[in-house]
Amino acid sequence: MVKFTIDELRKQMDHNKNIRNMSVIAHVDHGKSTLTDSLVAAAGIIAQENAGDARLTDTRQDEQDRCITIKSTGISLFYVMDDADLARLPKNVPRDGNNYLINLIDSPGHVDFSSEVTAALRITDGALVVVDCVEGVCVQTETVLRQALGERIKPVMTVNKLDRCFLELMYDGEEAYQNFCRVIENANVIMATYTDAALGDVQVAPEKGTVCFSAGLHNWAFTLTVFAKMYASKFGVEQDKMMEKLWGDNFFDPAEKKWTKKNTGSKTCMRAFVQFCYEPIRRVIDAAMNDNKEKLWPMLEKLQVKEKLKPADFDLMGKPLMKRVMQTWLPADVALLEMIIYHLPSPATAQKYRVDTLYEGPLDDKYATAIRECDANGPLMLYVSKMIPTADKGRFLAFGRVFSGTVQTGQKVRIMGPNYVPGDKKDLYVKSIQRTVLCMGRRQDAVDNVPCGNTVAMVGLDQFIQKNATITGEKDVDAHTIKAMKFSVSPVVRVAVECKNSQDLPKLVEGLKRLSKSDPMVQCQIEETGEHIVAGAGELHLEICLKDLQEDFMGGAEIRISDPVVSFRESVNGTSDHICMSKSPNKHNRLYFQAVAMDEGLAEDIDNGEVTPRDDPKNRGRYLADKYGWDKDLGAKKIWCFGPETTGPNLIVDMCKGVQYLNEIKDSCVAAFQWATKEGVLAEENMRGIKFEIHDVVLHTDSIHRGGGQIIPTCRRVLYASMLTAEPRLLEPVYLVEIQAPEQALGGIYSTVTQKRGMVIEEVQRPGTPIYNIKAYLPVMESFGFTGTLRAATSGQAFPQCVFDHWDMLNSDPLNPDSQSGKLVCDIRKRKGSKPNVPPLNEYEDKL
Amino acid sequence: MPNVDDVARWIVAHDFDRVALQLPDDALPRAASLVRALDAAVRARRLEGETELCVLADTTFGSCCVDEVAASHRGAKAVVHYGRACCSPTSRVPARFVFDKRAIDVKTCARALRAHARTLGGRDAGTSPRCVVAVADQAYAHATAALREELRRDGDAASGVEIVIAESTTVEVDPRRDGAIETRVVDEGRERVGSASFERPPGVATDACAFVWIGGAGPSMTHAMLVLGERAERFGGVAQYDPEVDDEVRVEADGSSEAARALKRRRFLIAKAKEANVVGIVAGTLGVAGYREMIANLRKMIANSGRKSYTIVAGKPNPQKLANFPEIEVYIMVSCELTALMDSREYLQPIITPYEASIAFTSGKMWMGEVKLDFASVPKPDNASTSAGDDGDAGEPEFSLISGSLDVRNPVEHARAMTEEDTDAPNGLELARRAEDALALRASGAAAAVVTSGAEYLMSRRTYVGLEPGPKRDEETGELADAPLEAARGLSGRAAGYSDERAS
Repeated sequence: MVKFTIDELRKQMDHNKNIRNMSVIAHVDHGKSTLTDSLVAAAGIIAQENAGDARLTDTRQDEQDRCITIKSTGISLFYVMDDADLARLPKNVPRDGNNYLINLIDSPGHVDFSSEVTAALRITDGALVVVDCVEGVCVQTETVLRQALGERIKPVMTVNKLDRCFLELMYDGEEAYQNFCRVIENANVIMATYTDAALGDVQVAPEKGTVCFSAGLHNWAFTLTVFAKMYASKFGVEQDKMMEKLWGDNFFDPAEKKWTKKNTGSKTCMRAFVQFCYEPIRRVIDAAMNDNKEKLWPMLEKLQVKEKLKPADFDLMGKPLMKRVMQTWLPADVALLEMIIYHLPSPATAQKYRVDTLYEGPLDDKYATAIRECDANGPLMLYVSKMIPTADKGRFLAFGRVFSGTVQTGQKVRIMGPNYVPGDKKDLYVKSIQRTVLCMGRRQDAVDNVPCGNTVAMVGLDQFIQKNATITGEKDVDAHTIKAMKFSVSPVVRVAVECKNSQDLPKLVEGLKRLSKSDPMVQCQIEETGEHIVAGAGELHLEICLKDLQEDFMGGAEIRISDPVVSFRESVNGTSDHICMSKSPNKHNRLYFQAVAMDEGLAEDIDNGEVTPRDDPKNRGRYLADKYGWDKDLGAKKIWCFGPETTGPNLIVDMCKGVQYLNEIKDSCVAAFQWATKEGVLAEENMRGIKFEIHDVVLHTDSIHRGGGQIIPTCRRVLYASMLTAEPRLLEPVYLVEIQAPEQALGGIYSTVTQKRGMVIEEVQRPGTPIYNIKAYLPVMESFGFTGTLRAATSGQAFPQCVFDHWDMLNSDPLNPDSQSGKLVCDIRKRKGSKPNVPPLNEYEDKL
Repeated sequence: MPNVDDVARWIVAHDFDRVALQLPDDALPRAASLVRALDAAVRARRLEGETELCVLADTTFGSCCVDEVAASHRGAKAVVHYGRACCSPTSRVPARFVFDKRAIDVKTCARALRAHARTLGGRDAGTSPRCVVAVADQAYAHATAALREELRRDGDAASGVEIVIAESTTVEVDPRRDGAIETRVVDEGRERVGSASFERPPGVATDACAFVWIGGAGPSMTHAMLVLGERAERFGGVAQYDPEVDDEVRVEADGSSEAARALKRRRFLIAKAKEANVVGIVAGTLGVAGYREMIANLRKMIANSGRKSYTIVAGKPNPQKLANFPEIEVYIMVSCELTALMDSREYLQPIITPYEASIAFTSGKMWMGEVKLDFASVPKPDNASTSAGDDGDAGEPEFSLISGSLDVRNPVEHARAMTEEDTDAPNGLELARRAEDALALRASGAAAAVVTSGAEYLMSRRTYVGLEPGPKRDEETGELADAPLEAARGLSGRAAGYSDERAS
């Protein structure tokens, strides 16, 4: 019963004032996909009756089986609104007819799949934040909200699973109100923290209509507007006035017919929200659930619902009856749509303020202008945020958003990859788009072209895009790229895979390539040891990836998967106890170095891009001087390099004075530094947080004797020597774990966390509930099987969410083979095939 | 002195008038007595003329190779090589190899082999090998005949598993006879493992052979295991019989053996090589037959793949020597089979073999774990440049396992672009223009521009480029302060009278 044709949909795409691009974001299991179904049902793609059960946007079999969303899925929805519905559209929201197009993206809620959320947020302008009214704002709600605001995505909120209040928890009105209040307040606190001036006020409030109350499973929802409309005429006040009365400290005493700001204590005096919204719903639900039809029908008649029911509905009993009645009375799609259309920005509005955070190039060139204006006739700017596997094995759709211009089937375009540098030929391809299609959940429909402000999927570009790319017209050679996405999770859990049958190796390599394409976060690499490594954000993420790899991308060829491997970092805890010296092989050059532990916080600053090699040296100098008390010249001029990969969190700093030929060996030292920081002396892991100081160099006067061949190996040796003398330490990755559980499970949680070397850092009871929120640090190394152990210890009542948080120093001496880190070092070295013990200092340091 | 008679007979038979003796370093103290004994033996056999003997006290490359260059300095007509040898065919001088001899108890060895064969044969059908191939270290080559005899004498067919002893065939090489690589006959039935070779019994497939290494652990064994690759471990793991310690065949079941690890490491090196733009060819030999053709072929292959190559002769390569060229991203080692597999973490750049290079530089080819070290196994490059996009579209980028994303460098595309530009700008300004681009990029802070030749590396990556290498640059920004000069044709001919002077 599809109500609209693709042609209608396509036509609507030209009216960008009537488009809303939105994603649905929330913590795991708060009901995103279910709620999405309600919207989809209203658009006529699935039957109304199935809404709540179908989970149309869970396109994969394992998503259906596990009842979790793994991949974000786009769907374009088309609505025809009545004039009456749009009557109250805020004055400042431009409107272009009664037809609306909503490009909706349903995203996963589990932390392990956060990268999918990031990819979804990039191509949308608004977000529907779903919060479970009982569980409240959880860790993942916070993470995705933070990301959304970072991308300048405007949020609206829905308090979901209201049915639990009525049926499960039997809240009375005031309890429920307090609970909702708290949930909304918590969300607002987060939004206030990450607020962005350009985005304007993002606080949500029921009286403004930016908060909805919903029961996704039963497919009903309401905003205060619905009730305001109902009572406005009754009380003879303006609808907006009524809205305000319906939330906050407004009380009404029907006995005296009086409004007050405080509860008068009279028995009949009740908060307006309870009096006019909560109680009527509760009465209807109770009546329906208890099959008390004598009471139900008159009520429904009064609400003008009875005449909308179908004859068959009158015979329903119990829950189905309740569901039917509520759906008819407070249809979810109406409330949600109103909120979306009224309060989420259209692309035309959103791109005005988003362009600054989107475009890499100068903000006054024609591309930036076209994005700002959302100009369908301007130059094409399109960002591909993810690749979607198709039924055709091995091929992918490039899924993204047109920010300006129009993308045509058959058009020749420039594909700029993440490593593209304007003016260079690197990572740049010119290719024709075979087809442009629209994503409709599980199916795709071809269209001729797609104008800006819309999401689109493209066929025929998949060989040229690994994960994401910017696409412009063939002639737009001076266009810059759209900024790369910043992910909130990092791939810290790694396994090595190999095929059981060596003949399958080509399949494995091809499989890894496809896997890497299909997921924004997963990393497929070959290690120095020659092992093929798959790295993911967490155990669950990795499990899904490996399953995909084997079943979908390798055609079922058998693979062997190693135990999870954690990558460590090598650092120092002090300053080299003396200045270390190494001599070049020809004995004519001597380098004097020292290693120093980096100032606390500097490594993180480098990670976060606060301090980068690309900074203006003067600014960097000032920043380092202000924050870390460095000498200004040192930070500005004397930092030779960052490493590894020229951007990592280690520095090499020149502290010499008046040394001859020093500039000549700089390149060699930098090369050695890159090499040494990539393969540390302890276990050939990356270094982190070490500042190497060059104190003096003595060089041969003849340049042939101080070439790279002499300096590079020597510099590497002296770097290792200075590291060994500065209390070397291993750093291990640590997760932040958030666990929600009832009080009786706390004992089990504490013992499990302690047993796994973890540390509980926060324990908060959720007000009004027996549920506790526990935050803990847990070493990634110990996290394998943590979920299982925790569930066993708490009889399945605790469910943890782990997200990488920081690197933690292991306090034992890795040079002592009996210590904990000594053993770790030994294991890593064995795995990598080097000698089990760290080489002694005299292998790297020379005597004068 | 062992073998003195054999060697003397060989010298006399070929009538060499000057012969060089090449000894491993640790055997040099014995050189004098050896020369005396050999001289006496030759004199005794020789009817007329004289043979001059000399000792080579150092080798240019690995000590396993016949040092033809040093021998030619003395005008030697032949070389007698003592000690561990790679037995590579020589290109100029004939050579004879004299291997070390170590004691081996043939009876015990035969018993051990038979027991091993019985254990393997006792397994279920399908998982048991059809034959066991014993590959012996060179030091035991002298005993292979006796061993074969011993096994044949009390033949034991009950196990159903045949035992084959690989023999060290080459004791002498002669360039006049063996010829260049093109003409060398590849014997289909025989398989080579290092300097040894064996013939599979009729009807036995390659993967139905189990292998036993006779000798101690060490580079020779690792080398042999690498060459055999996966097959060495097929039946339960690497099997070894060390005559000095063992009395039965030991099977190391654990797969993380030295060879397996080394093999995996090669995979990484090849993956790394795929991303290289500038390739160094290291001449690690000046003797092994066909090395010149090999280098020429490699150059062609590298050029066809759109990469730039430099050829380097650096004697025996070590980390210091090869680190002098940071612009080179991967080295290809052209050398004898024993020294070809170099992987020390001490080297700045990966070093691969010519065969591996042929895989890395042919797009779409994949390494299946085979190690081929002889020059004959390296495919010859086609004359036509590799297909630069048939339909005019840009070539497909390859997925790089090093970075985990698409290979950002696109050599085919690049090579094509360069040729196009060359025709546009015939006056040689192209490099200057590219260098300028690179500089502009550096000034704008984008450090990682793709470098496709040593000259570009000098201009764009090195911060110190010598005193006045070219156009002046601004110290702060690195921008060009004056324009590069156009190259002009100079005078030609001799200084006494240049070609154009004579004309006038």
